[in-house]
Amino acid sequence: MIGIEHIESIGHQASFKVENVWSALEPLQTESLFIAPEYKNYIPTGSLRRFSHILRFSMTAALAIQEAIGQKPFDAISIGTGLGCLVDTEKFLQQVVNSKGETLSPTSFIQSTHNTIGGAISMALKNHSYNMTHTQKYLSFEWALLDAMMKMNEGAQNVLVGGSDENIPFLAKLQPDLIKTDFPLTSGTTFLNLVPESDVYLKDLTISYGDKNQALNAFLENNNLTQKDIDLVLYANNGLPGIESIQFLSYTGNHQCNVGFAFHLAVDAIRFQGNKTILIINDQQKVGTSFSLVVGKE
Amino acid sequence: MKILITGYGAISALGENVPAHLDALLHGRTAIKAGARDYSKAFLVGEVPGLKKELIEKHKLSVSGSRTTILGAIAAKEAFQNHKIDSDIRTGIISGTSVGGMDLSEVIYRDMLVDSKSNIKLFQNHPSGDSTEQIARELGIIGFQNTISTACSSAANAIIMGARMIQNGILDRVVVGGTDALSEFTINGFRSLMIFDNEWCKPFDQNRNGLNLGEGAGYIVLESEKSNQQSKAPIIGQLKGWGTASDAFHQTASSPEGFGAQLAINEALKNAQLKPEAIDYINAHGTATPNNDLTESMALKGVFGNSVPPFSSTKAQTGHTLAACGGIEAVFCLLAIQNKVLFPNLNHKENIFDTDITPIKSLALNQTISNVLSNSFGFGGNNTSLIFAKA
Repeated sequence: MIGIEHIESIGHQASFKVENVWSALEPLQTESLFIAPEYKNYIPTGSLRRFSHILRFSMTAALAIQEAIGQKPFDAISIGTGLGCLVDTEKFLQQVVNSKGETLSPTSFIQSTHNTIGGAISMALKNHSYNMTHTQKYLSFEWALLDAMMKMNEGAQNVLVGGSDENIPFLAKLQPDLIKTDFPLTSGTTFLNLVPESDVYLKDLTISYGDKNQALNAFLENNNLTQKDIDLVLYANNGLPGIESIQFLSYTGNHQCNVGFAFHLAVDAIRFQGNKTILIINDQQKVGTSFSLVVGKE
Repeated sequence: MKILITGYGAISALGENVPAHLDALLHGRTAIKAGARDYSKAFLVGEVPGLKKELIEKHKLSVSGSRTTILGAIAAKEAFQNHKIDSDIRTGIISGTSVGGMDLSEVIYRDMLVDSKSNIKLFQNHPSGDSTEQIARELGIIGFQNTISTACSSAANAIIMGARMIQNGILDRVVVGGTDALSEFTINGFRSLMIFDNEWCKPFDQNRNGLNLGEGAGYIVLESEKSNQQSKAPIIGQLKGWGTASDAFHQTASSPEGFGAQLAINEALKNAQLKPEAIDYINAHGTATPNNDLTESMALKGVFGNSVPPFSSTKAQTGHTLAACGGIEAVFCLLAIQNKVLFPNLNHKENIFDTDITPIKSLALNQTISNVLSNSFGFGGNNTSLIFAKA
């Protein structure tokens, strides 16, 4: 049982710095725009000019967490991203393709590595602690969380976790061959911090690679629960029959760290909507399905 | 809880398996020379000989697509050779990569400018997580599989992540390390940073100019003692400690005193419950860039004072294999322990003025080597240190 203290999301919902994210929800339309906060309130002008989309919104969400918890330093920072910094990756790739052998400008190359996000956050916060970047497609956020949960087990008191992915027009070319989805392609981030005690807890998280039903029941059993104890399921593709199930994809759209927003929905459902035991199912991957339990204080 | 090492595998320009690497290290051979490909022929690089098709055939692989995946599968397969899939042993794989499938994506992207429908499906190899999934399948591993991407410290961080999953009771056995293939993207990228040496690189030398890029993969198998009683795989050594910290200074350069590096090394020593004087050999990050080698020397002096242990960079032999270096160099540390040797730092003539520490100049045999420190420092200020020891 690990406490979730504060959580922020930036994406295609008006979720940033809103008390109860459920009050801001609109079903996603194809033309739903990304709702960007005032980045200049968080990021100095010089950096802002250089930063790509994903760096701006990730940094802002992370800094908003730090601001909300009163500058208490993070003992570890754990980031997940499925496709990394695509804007800068494509920018540099275009430079490479168009080059005639000349030396190229390094800015996009430097900002194309997956751990640019974590690195930039560590510099902004002057944080010298553990700083990890996980990239495992649609399970990247879960791996960042799992890492953070281990950190808490190992004695950490305050761990920052974040998941970010950005959309670029190029990704549309990969539909439907490689990206099969009924939902718009989107960008987004969710950041949260883990602490020992809170009013909302991440009770457990696992990733299953075998039979999903067997794995789910074993997961619940390990946590002394049955399906009857769950009052809400937040799922990507398949919910559970007989239990109120909401498809988080309809609010986040398709990007590889979209499950982060499901955690935001879960936290606010416990805090403001009267829920007690929430199961998150992320079944967007061929290899691996994650199950997570978010619960209120006993 | 002891973390045993019960398998190792490596592929780089020096060779396609661990024995080939040992031979190259013992004979002070370098594999750095002008590249064989269009985009590498103007540079000195450590390229693995052989086209993808040839490597797949030679090593009887089922993987395909990105060269990163292929190199990774070869080394991971070698590491896992004394192991079998066992339903009683919870097994996973954590792999580090920075290139991912970019070596293939850059080719298709270019093709698409000419023919918009060409080979789009090959982009499925692009995500870094894909290489790990394919390598897992090659080894028959169905369980936890994850990818770490922290630039040049990726493999070293993957090793830490795997060890912690064992200590936290989530896994019993884990294949850990990393892989990166050469690509036009990274060659152009490092060139744009102006940290290449047009000549053979000179780690820790006053007149060093920069790095030579390399490619390759290195993996080790970590197990709990309980798992090893079941697997009965021969024990090579142990992972005694680790440390990782952020420099938080600059995106690509390290702080002058190597602050993050010192934090990582000190954390590893504390984690291993060792005093600095217990370290018998340091396999340095030693990329031969003006910045790294100076700051790393500063960090070594900061931690070890006037008694810096024997140290060398092996990157004048393999080139800088980016995300893979922590995995390949983990293998080198284990070889040092097993064979009681100190590997020399090639191409060194003059100490760096400001720090004046001398790396190992020639191969030393019959050494007592119990504890070895390995450094891997990545862009984004990610500093990682691992300590390997006799079992």
